[in-house]
Amino acid sequence: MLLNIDWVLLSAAFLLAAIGIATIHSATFGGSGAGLYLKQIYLVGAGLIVLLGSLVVDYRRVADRAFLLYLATAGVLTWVLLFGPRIAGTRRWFFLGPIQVQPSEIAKIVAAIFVAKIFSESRKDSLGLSDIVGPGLATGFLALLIAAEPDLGTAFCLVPMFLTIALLAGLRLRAVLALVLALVVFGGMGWRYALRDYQKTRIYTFLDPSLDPKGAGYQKIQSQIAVGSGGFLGKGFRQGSQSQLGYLPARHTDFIFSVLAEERGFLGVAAVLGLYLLVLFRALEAARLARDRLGAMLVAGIATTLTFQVVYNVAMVAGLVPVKGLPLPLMSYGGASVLSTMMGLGFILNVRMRRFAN
Amino acid sequence: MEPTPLTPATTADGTHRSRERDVRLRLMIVGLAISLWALGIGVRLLQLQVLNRASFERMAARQSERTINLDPRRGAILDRNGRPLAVSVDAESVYAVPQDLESPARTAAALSRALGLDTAGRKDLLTQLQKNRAFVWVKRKVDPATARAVRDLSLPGIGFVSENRRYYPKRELASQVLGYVGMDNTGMSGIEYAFEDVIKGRPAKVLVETDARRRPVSHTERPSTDGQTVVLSIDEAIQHAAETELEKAVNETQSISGMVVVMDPRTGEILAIANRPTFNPNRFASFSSSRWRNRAVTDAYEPGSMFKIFTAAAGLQEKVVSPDEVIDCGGGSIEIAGTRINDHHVFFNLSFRDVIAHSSDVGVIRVAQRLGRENFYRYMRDFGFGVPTRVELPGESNGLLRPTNKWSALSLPTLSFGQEIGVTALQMTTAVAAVANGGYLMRPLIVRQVEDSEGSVLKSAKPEAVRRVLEPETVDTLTDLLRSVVTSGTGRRAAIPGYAVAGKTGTAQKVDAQGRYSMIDHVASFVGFAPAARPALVVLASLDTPKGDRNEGGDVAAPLFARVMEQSLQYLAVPPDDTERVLRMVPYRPGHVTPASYRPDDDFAVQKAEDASGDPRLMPDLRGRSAREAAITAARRGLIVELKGSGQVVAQTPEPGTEIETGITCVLTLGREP
Repeated sequence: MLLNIDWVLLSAAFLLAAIGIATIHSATFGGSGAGLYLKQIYLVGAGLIVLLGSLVVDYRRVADRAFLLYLATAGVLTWVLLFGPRIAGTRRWFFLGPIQVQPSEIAKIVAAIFVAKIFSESRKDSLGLSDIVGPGLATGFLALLIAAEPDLGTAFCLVPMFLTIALLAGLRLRAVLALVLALVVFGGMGWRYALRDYQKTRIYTFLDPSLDPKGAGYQKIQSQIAVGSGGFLGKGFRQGSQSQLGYLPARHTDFIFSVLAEERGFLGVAAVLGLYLLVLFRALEAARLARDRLGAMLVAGIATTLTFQVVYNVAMVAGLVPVKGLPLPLMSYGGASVLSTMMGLGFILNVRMRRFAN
Repeated sequence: MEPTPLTPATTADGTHRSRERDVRLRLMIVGLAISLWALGIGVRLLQLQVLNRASFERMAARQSERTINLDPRRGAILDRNGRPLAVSVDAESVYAVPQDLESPARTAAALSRALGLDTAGRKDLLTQLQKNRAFVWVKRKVDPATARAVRDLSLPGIGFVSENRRYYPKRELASQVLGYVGMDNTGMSGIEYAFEDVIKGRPAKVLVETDARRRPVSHTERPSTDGQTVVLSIDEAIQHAAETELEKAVNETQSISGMVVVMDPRTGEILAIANRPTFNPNRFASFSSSRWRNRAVTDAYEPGSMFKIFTAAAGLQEKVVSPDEVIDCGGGSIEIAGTRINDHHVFFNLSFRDVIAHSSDVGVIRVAQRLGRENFYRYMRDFGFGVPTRVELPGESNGLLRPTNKWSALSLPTLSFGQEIGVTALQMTTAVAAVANGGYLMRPLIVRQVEDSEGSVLKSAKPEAVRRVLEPETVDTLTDLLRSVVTSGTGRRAAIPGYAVAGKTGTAQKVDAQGRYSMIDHVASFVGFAPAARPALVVLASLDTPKGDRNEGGDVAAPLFARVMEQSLQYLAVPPDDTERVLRMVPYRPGHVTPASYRPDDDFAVQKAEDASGDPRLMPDLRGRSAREAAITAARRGLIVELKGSGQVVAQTPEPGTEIETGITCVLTLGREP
């Protein structure tokens, strides 16, 4: 059965992680975070263990406990929201001894399992809006808990995941369009009533970054300068003035792709995007090959979450969408992101691996 | 092994297959969406990285480099003989590239010690160093010792550029005329302000960037253009005499303030303007801002009896009075429109000459009444009162002269002896110069010429007569009257041995807090010219609120006038009227002036000074110079000059370079160069 592991996907993923480590090394070289790339190596190693762990147990056994997992996750998210330590104005983390845990990253996987489980049990050929209200509310509740931390980026990851699984479950395209429309309307209301000022500022400055070059638009401008000045071939390893001179913010985490773009140029960026596409299409392939609806939906859901993060992060780096704290899966520095991505990949391999087994 | 169905086998075969197709179809939609995104991102990255690369590269370069403008070297301000009054000297400025500092906190601490900063300064510095910038100033224009101390620290990320700062080698001398320069190298008052555009020059562009090893380097993209040199009409020697004598007089009389103005009446050139209290422009900030003002130009005051000169001038010119006509001085008072005006002294019948000599108020009131308002007013305007003189100094006051329709019945009588009018010291001096030079009101000149930094003349000022005010006969008579002020009247202490002096005292009561003329406080003044028959200089001296028993114009201002006038005449080698007296020129040897806070690195100041005077004990080389120039140079060294022939100097005894003593005769042979 291990022979059925998708080695192509796995190698592509680890190649991306390796490129990520090299880029982190370059981005933090000589600064206060000079040792971070070593830490990232350990994290990827730990990620490999998590990946194997989420691969050995049959996904159907896991999905059978979806409801329990959902309740536990919702409970932890609520607990963090109420009692978690306040870090940089947010309550996203709690501590298990020395380890900082970010439950919202796990929640992405759990939500995918939960939604896939519910829809896979549906017997209908075609679903209307009324059929998705229940799972929609359940997912929305998780998203709300995460958004309240606040962590809008991660919360929003749940939306495309839910829509994709619902689409696979037979939700009519008309209904998908209606949902998107509803999102826009609610988004507008959310803008009016729910968004914090800093969040609004980010969106304003997205529209015109030069309004506030040292404020919220600063990141976007610096990122665009880094990407743009990289050119076709890049400035070379550790030669990017934007990243080396410290103009680029969050350069080893959310803006790791900018460093890559500056130092490796369009060629390097195209190669990395190619690897991501390879991973994503292999995941879709796994969904197509899955032995049952649950597997297909689970893989598609996780793949969509990953896709959304990659799409959003790269689009953010390229200055196409507002800046949000969304890491680039596999490449950005950070334990929670690495581990949850590895876990997601584990489930994708899990489903593909068991496509023949009974 | 065949793939197991996607759905449990409970459904019918057809449905199962269609559902399977449906799922595949929908997965393809997802795949398509991802592909579309990949395409979109690819296009965007191509646009950023390939098409617009150049502009982003420029933006990246712009923030890791910084172009700074360095102030150009301000042009010098020289006196009429080329002696430097304001110069620019090199000073180093310290800057930092914050990204390259090893530790902002430690760097700030080390720099603070070297620069001698206090706690607040140190905090500011740390804030600066913590900025995410390619360039911040640490301290500009430090003195060489401090610069060396900072350099010795050899801190990474700390660099130096050479700037220059203003230096006034003569300290307080003519400070209000020169003005001062603020920290950003901009002239803030005086000539520095008025001629800012000329003096400033064009700034240099310096590019500061970081090299691959993170050391700051700077290179000049465009050198600066030096500012132009402004040559004043001020003569340092006369200014020096005016300053020292005024200082002495103000101290002796404990006056609140004082002014001396010296003018060449023939050209209107201002040779000296001295103000007390004064300030040192090198450290302007440590003086009260009221001292920065050139009050001789910016402030109007009541001239008092000095003003009788113009009442007399109008009366003589209009022939309503003659010098020997006897005038009834009313026993010391006169009643006009129900108000009694008391003279400072009881006079009965005085000749008009004595009216002026003894400064009878009632006497001049009678003359003004004969003139009538309009006539009198016309003369006052013609003498330049109530309008600016158009001198090239900033902040000039118009003075105060009300038009006749605003006059009361008392205006004409009080104006006639210098009340109810505001004049500036410069207006007064210029008006008296019109009497001294035969009747022409000149525009006062402060700048002789503007030169570029190589010394070629770009612009030179020409004397400008504004109008003719008096006829020559009037001038002669009036000069005669003003002579008697000094020989037998209130201004006897203005007399200078060997020279005929003409002038007029003034003791103007000050308006007290109740708005009435004070019986105690007054401004004591004397204005006059010498030699009376061929005037070379006009000098005005005013002391505000002198203390002591005898403190009227004739008691305190007249001696001040005499001392400034005598020293100036001797310095200029003006031949005395008394032919019995030997002409003895007094060469100007400026006393040693300690540099205020900064010793210039270049010897610009020293060189210029030596060029002008040379070693006074050696015979200068006068060959090739014009007769006039040579005679003045020789006279400055105390030589008696004998000229033979005409044209330029072709031969001289003693030979150049031989030792000379004052009083020996120097023979200059003149001829035409072939």
